Amino acid sequence: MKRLFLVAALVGCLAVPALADLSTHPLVGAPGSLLSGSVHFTPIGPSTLDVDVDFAVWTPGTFSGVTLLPVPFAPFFSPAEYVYAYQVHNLPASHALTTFGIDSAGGSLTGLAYDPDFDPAVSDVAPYAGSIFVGTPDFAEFYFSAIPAPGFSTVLLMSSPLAPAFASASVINLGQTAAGTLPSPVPGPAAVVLGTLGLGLVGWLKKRYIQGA
Amino acid sequence: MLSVALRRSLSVMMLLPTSVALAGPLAFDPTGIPQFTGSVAFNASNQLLVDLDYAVFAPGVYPDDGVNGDDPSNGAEYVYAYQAFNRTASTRALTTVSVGLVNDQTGAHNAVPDPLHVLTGGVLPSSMEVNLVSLSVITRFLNPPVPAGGYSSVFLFTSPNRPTYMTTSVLSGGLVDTQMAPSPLPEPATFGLLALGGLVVLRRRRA
Repeated sequence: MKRLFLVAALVGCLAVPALADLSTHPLVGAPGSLLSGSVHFTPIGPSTLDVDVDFAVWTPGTFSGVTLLPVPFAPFFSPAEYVYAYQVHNLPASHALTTFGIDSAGGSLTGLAYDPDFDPAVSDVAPYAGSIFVGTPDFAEFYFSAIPAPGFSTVLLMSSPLAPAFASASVINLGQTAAGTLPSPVPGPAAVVLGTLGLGLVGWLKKRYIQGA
Repeated sequence: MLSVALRRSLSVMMLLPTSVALAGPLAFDPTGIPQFTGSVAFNASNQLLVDLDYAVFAPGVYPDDGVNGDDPSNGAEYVYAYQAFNRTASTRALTTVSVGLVNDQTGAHNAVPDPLHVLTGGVLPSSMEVNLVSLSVITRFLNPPVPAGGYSSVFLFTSPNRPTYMTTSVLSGGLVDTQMAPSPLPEPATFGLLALGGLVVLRRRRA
């Protein structure tokens, strides 16, 4: 009986690495990237979701993917712009995920893509669809049939003409959520100056109108 | 001439206290199971403010608005109905509502919108899916999303099992919030079998 337990323990030890995250985490310290790293998402309310998201950002023209594929239903991204890359890592104690969403930090988003070969691991999950929503701010969502726990997504890509700041990002399922902050496009100084000038002009016109009345 | 259902809804709405004025008629449907009819408020960073109305109907009770197929189970199962209201104070459009499932034995299926139920004219879901891997019923509003000040159509699913409360979430890009809403409880027979299995394992271990 003791021998049986020893064999079981040995098999268990060998099985753990097989169940663990086999990703090579290619975005953390990605060569040529402007910034990169990994963020742990905090569960919102009664949530058992346990998620890390790796990220990297490249300046326009410096990103070279391996296999760039379009995300169904979303405009294709442009490597000639800033490239924002994310990889969702669903940790063993978590639950299967279906959605990854990210806000822009106020800047516009132009396209989505994914790269199934940027991470050599073969068990990464590709999105079946995605969408960019124009609003205040713009935001993007990637949809998966399910990223199991443990499991991870392919490298997800987003393009924007604008440089990064940090903005809200989220994951969802089992009716539960978790969120963190990730690099995302922020309006350039020129846009901010133009916006301020526009507001000033509106204020000045309003003041003139009131004085005229 | 107003339909009976609409007149009933309006008369119920007129009786509502002002504190719950944001909820629609589904939250006060007198034919819903009382403990599982109401509204829950979601707030993601004061930017995504959503009221999710819900009502669970016992088999055969879900009202027929005169359109075939309102209840996809044809009266054989419990109907779990929801309607999302994105408040005018929201700065964001709503894209996703996810109702959590206790496990993969809840019998949830038949996920469909019912655009002609009570408050009509709502945004139709782009897709509805019972996902037994992520244990959730996912309703997406993508084209278009539910705008601030707008509301969804009624969306529902059916199950042979009675309700309990389970985690439920709304999402809009990077913004999310989680609350509790009705969801099917796996049938007692499933729990009974699980308990029996556990007893057998315990007995074998002792032996």
